[in-house]
Amino acid sequence: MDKKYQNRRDFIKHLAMTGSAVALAASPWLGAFGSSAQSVRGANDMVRMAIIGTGSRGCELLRHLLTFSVAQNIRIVALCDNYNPHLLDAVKLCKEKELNPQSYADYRVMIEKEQLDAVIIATPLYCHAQITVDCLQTGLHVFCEKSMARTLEQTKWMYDTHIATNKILQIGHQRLFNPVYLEGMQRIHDGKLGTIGQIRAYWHRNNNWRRSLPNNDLSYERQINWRLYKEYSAGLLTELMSHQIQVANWALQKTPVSVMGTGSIRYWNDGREVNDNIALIYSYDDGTQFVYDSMTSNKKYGLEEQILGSTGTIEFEVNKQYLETPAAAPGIQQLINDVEHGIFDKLPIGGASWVPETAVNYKGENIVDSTNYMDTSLQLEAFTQFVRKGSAPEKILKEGYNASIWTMLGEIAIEKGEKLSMPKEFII
Amino acid sequence: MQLIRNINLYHHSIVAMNSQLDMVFWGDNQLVYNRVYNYALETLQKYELLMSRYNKESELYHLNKNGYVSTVFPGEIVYNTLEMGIEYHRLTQGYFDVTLGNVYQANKNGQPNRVNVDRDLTKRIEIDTMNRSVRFLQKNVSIDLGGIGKGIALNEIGKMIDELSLKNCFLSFGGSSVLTRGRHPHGDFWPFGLSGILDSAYLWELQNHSLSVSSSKSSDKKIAHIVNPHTYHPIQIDKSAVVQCNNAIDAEVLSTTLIASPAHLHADILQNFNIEKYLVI
Ligand SMILES: NC(=O)c1ccc[n+]([C@@H]2O[C@H](COP(=O)([O-])OP(=O)(O)OC[C@H]3O[C@@H](n4cnc5c(N)ncnc54)[C@H](O)[C@@H]3O)[C@@H](O)[C@H]2O)c1
Repeated sequence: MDKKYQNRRDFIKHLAMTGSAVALAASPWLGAFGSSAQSVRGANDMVRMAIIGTGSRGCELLRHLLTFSVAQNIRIVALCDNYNPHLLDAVKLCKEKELNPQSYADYRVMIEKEQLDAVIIATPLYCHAQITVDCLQTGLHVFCEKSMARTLEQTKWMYDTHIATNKILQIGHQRLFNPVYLEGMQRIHDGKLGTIGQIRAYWHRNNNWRRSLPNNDLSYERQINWRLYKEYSAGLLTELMSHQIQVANWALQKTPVSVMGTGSIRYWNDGREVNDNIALIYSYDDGTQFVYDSMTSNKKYGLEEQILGSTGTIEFEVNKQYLETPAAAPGIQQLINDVEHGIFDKLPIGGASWVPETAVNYKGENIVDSTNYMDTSLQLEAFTQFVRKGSAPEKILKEGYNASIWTMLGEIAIEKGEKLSMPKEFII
Repeated sequence: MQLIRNINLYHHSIVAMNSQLDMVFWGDNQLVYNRVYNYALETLQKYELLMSRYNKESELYHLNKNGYVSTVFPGEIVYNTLEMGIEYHRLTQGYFDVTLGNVYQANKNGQPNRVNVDRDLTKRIEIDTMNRSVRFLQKNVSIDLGGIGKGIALNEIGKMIDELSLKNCFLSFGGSSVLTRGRHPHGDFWPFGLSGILDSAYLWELQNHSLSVSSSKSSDKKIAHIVNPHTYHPIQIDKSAVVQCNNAIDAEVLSTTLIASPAHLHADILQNFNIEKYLVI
């Protein structure tokens, strides 16, 4: 299905229609979606934003913003990238919408000169922390892409600065705003899956993850392919797993107590420093295990987060829930309802068009009826609302923070070959 | 187990044998219900593994693959079922036939006549009752126990229910095969009716019974899925058959037979069975 953006009103209408409004009410950070929460500013005051880092993700975020910037009264005031071709890509996107934001190569100059409410940061991982802290300290609200930061210390530094400046810091884990996840999490938290024993997740691709260099000029290698070098990224851990450990923590409403793991460069032995093949186990205090792996030389299984409970299973990426015991056939359900209401009526089974030999192959049920939305748009729209309101639910940042901390601990566990727990100073 | 307030109604489902078995019990005997459930689960899993035409591990798969090239000695259950199937062939004047698996399969693709196999059962298969062995006499012979398997499983579970002296229950296998004991919590029997037909003449009062429903067409694809074993033509006219008796296998075999055979033969065929009530519409 071709996914297209749904605006908030359609989205809420859709939730109300599908009965998923429960999820809306029970998810604290979505309160701002539905309620006319106290705003420090008018409900539709202009929000002035800039984007720092207009590479592939930055341009993608810009495209999303542009689909609702008029309706939401967002002004893209400025764009910043220190690599000019990428900056021009973003300028072009704006021109197509007849917008002319200022361009900058240095974000420090930009935040000094421009009148901004908020920035969106989509630079390589290693510079998330410095840029975020600088922006927060300038008094700006920040949306920063995941993973939060390159080290434990940087992650904490960002968090502490958010507390000190009282400015919004939202990390780009878009699943937090995805109706499939919201509804599924509600069911998990309501005990519909019974006792969760394991969460299994994986992300498998079959490509080398390399981007081509301009004119094959090797001097650009580390700048363009920053994901492959430890100085800038923890590879599969920060780029992919961070999303999925966030989902696991969210499902369990806990953070792990330990992690162990292993990793290797198994296939793409091309001078890269980060592993192309990893496996980790995170344990929680109630005995639940999060079993994770990621690789880039086989794509058969794609990506998934499987929540394995004693009475059911959820597979989030495909919008599916499976009960361990399938639900009653329709006629039987009628019988059960009748008995409950003291009714003695004939069992409406069969019929002229009865299907005596229909193969039953239990394929589970969809979690939500329609997935006709983009979670990335929804999260940016939420950010806009939060900016207008002047604050965001702390829960959202804590999800990003804990995902980042445990991703970093996973990296250290792999490197040291040890089972690690969270050092006290990083507990928030 | 799903417990319904007040009445202590228990419901459980099992997906197996390409279908879903729903079991409803009521009363205060949960431990017994659990035993029936576990027994049903084991039974269905066992039959699934024995009688699947598609599972390469199954005994029937092995028989169908090797029956023409060599003499096969199936295990007790598959052998007995096959022998039973051939006896039903006799009792139904050849309108119930378990040896035409390839014809039924080809019918799903709309070409049942493409399968080259003799119309005379004795020229297709040879059963050695002394040695309990089976040999296919023609290449295209293939056993399909789909029209009998659910009845066998239900009978088996029914035996356990009676052994445990369980009084009231309603079992529905895929909606087409039903086995009941006792009565509905709010009445003297389990009332059963074809959906969409209101006439009370078409009400079945089930107590200690088996009932089976068949229709010539499947509702979704409108495929005529029952084939006349004498002509290899699928039954194209819309009709449904319901049979109530004391034996789930008889009920299942007969509901199919009543669709496959012409109406003027029904009375004759039914003479061979002890049935309570039937309907063909
Ligand atoms: N949430 C998601 O699903 C998702 C998906 C993809 C990427 N991301 C994240 O987005 C971020 C960027 O990834 P990407 O694929 O777009 O990488 P990219 O290399 O395509 O883009 C990064 C851009 O940042 C620019 N940049 C680097 N340092 C800068 C600085 N100091 N000032 C201004 N610009 C600077 C680079 O020139 C480049 O254009 C990463 O953190 C990544 O994990 C998130």
